[in-house]
Amino acid sequence: MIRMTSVTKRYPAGARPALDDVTVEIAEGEFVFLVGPSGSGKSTLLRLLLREERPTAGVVEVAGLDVNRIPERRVPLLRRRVACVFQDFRLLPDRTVAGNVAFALEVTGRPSPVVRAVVPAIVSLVGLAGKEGRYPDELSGGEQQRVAVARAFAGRPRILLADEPTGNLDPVTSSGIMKLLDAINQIGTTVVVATHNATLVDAMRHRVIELEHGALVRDQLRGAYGLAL
Amino acid sequence: MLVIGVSGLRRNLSMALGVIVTVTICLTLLGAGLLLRAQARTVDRFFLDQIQVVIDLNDGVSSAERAALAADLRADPLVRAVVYEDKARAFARFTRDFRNSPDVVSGVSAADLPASFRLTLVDPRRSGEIVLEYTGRGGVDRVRDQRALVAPLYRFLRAFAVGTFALAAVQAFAAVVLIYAMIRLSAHGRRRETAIMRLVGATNATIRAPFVMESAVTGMLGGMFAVVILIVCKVYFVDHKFARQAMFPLFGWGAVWAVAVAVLLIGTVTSAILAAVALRRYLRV
Repeated sequence: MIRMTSVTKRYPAGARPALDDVTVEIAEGEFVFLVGPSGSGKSTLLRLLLREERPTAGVVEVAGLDVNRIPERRVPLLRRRVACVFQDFRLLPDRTVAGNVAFALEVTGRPSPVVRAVVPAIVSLVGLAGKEGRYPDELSGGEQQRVAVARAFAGRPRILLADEPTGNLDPVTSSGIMKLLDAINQIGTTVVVATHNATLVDAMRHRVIELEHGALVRDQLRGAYGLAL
Repeated sequence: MLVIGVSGLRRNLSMALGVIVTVTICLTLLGAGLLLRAQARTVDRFFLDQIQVVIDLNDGVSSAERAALAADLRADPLVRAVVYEDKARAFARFTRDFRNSPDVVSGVSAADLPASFRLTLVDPRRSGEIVLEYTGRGGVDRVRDQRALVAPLYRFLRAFAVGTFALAAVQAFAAVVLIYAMIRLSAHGRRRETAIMRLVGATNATIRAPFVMESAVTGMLGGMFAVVILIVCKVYFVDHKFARQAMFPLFGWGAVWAVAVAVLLIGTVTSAILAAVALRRYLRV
C-alpha cells in the first residue's frame, strides 16, 4: 500500500536532510504510529506521501502510484486515494458540519444524490449525529477534529494520514479521536498517525515507526512510544 | 457556476467595481472604434454607388476626337456606363447643385462649363487607373476623380477609429493589471478553501473554475454596461443629433447589435482567459 525505498529529502535551506535514506513498507489495512521528536521528519514523510513535496532521491509508491512520477494532472487522483487530517482541523468556518463534509464530495464531482446520501451516514459514523447544522465555532475541539476526519473519510480513501490529530486536544478527547481512527482502520482503511501522544501510542499497541534526525531508527510491531516500554 | 462567480465578486466588491468600470470604459471605446469603422463602410458603400469619374473636354475638341474617346471608353472593361454631358446639360446640373447659392450661379454661364464624359466604373476603387489612362489624351482637358473629394472624410473617420482603438488599448492595459490584482486578492481570500480542495483531490479545473467564473462575470458586466452606453450614444447622436444631415447615411442598428455581440464576447472570454493565466502564477494547485 505504501512503499518508500531509500527516500531522502533535502530542503534547499537545510544543512542536513529532513529525511535520510528511509526505506519502509506499510501493508494494506495496517494502523501505524509515526513517532519522533519535533523536526525528526514525520511531517515531511506525510507530505511526500501526499505529493506536497517530492523526494530528493528514492522512490515513493502510494496506493499503486509512483508518487514522484505521476503527472500533475493525476495528482488529484492520488489525493482521492490518500486523505489527511491535521492538528488545526482546517475546516471552513462559513459551512456547517454537513456542509464541510459535503464540500469534499462536491468538489471531487460526486453527484448531489450521492452527497445527500453519504453525508448523514459519515457524520453519524464520527459520532456527530444531530449536529449536522452546527458551524465549526459552535463545536468543541474534539468535535471539530471529528468533522475533519469525516471530511477526509467521506471520499472513502484507501489510506488516511493524520498529522498530530490530537495535538490541540485534551487526553479524553484525544482518546476518542484515536478510537475513531481505529474504527476507520477496522473498516479496512490503512491509517498512519504522526503523533507525540505517548499515552495513546502505548495504550493502543500498534506498529510504531520512529524517526530521528530524518533517519528511521525503529520499526516495531505492537510497539510503544519510547523504547523503555 | 454563474452563482459562484457572482458570490466571488461580492467578497471583493470595491475591487470588482473598479475592474467593471475600467472594463466598461475599455469596451465602450473598442465598441465606438468598431462603430466608426462601420460608419466608414456605410459611407463607402453610399459613395461607391454615386461616385463617378468625369472627363472634362477642351472647348476646341473635334467631333472625331470626341467620337474616338467615346468608343474607347465604351470598350474599356473598367467602365460600366458612359454618359456624354454637353455644355447646356452641364449648366443645368450646375444650377441644380448650387440652387442654394444664387450668387454663384449668376456669375456663370453655359459657355464657362466644359462638356464632359461622366463614367460609372465597374469598381470605383480603381478610378486611379482611368485617371492615368485618359489624362493628356487629345481633346481631354482634365480627368476628375470624385472619390478624391471625399478622401478627407475617410481620413477623418479612420483617424477617429484609430484614436479610439489606441485609447481602448490603454484602458485594456489598465483592465489587465486590475484583473490580475483582483484574482490575486481573490486567491488570497479563498486560500483556505482552495487548500482543502487540493487536499481532498479536486482537479485543477474545479479549483480554478470559481476564479475564472468571477473574472468572466466581471468582463460580462463590463461588456453589458458598454453595450448600454453604445446604445444610448446611437439613440442620442445618430438617431437625433445627426439625424437630419443628408450628406451621407449613418450606420444602422444592425451594426450596433454586431458590435454589442463582439464587445460582450471579447469582455467575457478575454477576462476568463486572463484569470486562467493569472491563476497559474498566484494559485499553486
